[in-house]
Amino acid sequence: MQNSIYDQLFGQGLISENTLKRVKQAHSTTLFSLHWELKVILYFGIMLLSAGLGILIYKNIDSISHQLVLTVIAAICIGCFTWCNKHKKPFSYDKVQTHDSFTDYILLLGTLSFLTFVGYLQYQFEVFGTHYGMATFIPMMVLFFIAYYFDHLGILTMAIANLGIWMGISVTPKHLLSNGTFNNETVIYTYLILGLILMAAAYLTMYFHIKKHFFFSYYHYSVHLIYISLLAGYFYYNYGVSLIWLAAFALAAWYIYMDAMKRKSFYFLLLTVIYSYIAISGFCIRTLMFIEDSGVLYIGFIYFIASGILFINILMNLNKKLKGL
Amino acid sequence: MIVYNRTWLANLILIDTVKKDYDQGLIPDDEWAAIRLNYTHQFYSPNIFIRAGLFLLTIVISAFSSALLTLFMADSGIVENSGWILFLAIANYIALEVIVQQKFHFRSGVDDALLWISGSLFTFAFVTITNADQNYLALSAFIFLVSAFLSLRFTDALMALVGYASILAVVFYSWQELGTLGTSTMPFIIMLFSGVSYWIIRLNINNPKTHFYANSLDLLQIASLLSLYAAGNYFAVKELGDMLNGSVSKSVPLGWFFWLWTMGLPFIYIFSGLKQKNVILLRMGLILIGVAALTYKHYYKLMSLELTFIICGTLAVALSYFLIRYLKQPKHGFTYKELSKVYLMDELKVESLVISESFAETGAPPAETGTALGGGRFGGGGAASGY
Repeated sequence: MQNSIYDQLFGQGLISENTLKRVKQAHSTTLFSLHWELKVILYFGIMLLSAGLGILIYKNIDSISHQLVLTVIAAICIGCFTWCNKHKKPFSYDKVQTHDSFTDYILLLGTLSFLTFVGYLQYQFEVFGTHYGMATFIPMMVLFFIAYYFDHLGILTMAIANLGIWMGISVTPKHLLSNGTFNNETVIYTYLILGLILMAAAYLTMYFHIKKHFFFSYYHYSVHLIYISLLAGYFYYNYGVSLIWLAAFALAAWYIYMDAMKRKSFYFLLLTVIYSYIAISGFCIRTLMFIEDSGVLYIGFIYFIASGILFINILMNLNKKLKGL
Repeated sequence: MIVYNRTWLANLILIDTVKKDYDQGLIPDDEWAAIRLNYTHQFYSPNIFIRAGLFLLTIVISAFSSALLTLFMADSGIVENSGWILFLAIANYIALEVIVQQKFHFRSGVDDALLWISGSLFTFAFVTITNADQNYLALSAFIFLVSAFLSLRFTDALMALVGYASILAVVFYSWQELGTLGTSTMPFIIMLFSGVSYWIIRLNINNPKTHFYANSLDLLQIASLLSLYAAGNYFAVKELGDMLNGSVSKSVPLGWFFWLWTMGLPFIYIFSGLKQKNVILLRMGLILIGVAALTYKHYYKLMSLELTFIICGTLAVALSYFLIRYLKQPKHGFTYKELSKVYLMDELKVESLVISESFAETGAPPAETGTALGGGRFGGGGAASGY
């Protein structure tokens, strides 16, 4: 099937004989890559191991000696980090290409056991006493250090999530999407501040050329956090005050939009369009609610149809524009 | 039958095929440009991000259009007529045809949304008109007709999957009509049907007639392999049998056969997948090993949960470690290297998102906002979730 395509292309003079030969040879000796299969097995292995260890400790927390548990966890942890240190490439401020994803996952196991270790210490011995802030701050700093030192994106996102936890909020992707807890001012402001911090981190990453490939992870969280917290703020306050939030939203959206165009990112473009649609629709509906007439239902429906069509056109045009850049 | 311009569709497939080789550096840039110039199409098919946006917006438009229309007509009483839903379904379908034929949308999000909306509305209309919501046989037969038509006309793979699921349901419910004989031979008829389906699909995979349906056939292979396994899985056989007979049984007749099927089939999949270098078989086999393990654990308690986790985890890590080492240099036509490196989804850094979703939260010692100490939610990534 494939080769007949190339025969046809060759017949039309679109490819040279060399290319034809090269392609045919490549197809006849097709290698079968087990890359993703092995990676997924590895991922599940690490997940099972770490979960099993967690349950083991949880169940036996009163029966086995604490020193023993701590020693075992520490041993696993040290073993993993020693392995990674031995197999890592020299540190660099650029991306360090690790072709060896096994080491990446061993690093993950080591990090998870470290977190278990710290958690256990706090749970059993209260080493941080009642300074709960410290109990999250130290693991977070360690996570950031590991992420930078070993160049591990997954651990960076864990560190970012822990930064959120330290500030008292949760920022895993699922949590953000399914959240219904934006109902008090503190939470909204915390999310907004975290978003701004991450935005700053993203830019500093680029500006100082430190691990530029970490940019996405910072920026991704920051964009979602900023949009969601501004929207939450908008819907939280009454009509008059909320206009300030709407203005802030417009400012942020404009900025992120310009940035998406600059980076040619379809993803951030889509986010901007969708979040803006929610903001504008929210504004229109809240404004329409002032009309106390049954006809308002019609206007509302017509608004959604018209705005939907409008936004489809906007999205299609922006797509064209971005592709043309 | 196919709504799309066949030449364009063929060109699109050709370009996609050649692109894979181009990404691997087999084709020089100037020749690639020449090929693209010669095989053009006018389809509007934006990338996945834009597609997702268009999909959502189209659902909004369609839903509110239907609502507005219903509101306008509410006074006239037409709406109460059971044909009203059918009318909305037809309206959505016409919109779909127009978008595809006039605007040349192809997997743009707009056509995807309209396809699923009209398919669902047709089914809903069938239920309201015939009151057949208790007659599962008729319902699944109708769903099969709709999805078969839509998947053939719009070459949509997911719709083809719905088609397969509904025809499987038709087989199931019509066999059930046979009474006791039917329920006791149910696993075998489903096995037979799935096996034959898989065999027919594999036979026709290089048939020129299925050229435009390559994606659908891939998905159908997965579906038929899955139903072939599920038909003989001990858990499925026992629990489903109990449900159909309204009984609570301790074991099933021919239990040894179903256990053999549950445990053996994944390995047969993996083995033949490696032998034929068939990704679908291989991956299905790997996933089903997990299912087989869960089935076993459901009935027999060999050891504690944590010990199972630790042993299986260690085995998985060790296995992948040795294979990664072993396959660093390609052997017997297998390699650990990634062959194709260009993914659009790379922009999302999916791997890191998966890691953060599954591990990130679990490391937290009790925080200030949390409940009092002893919440027990420390350490052990993922330990708390779902077990």
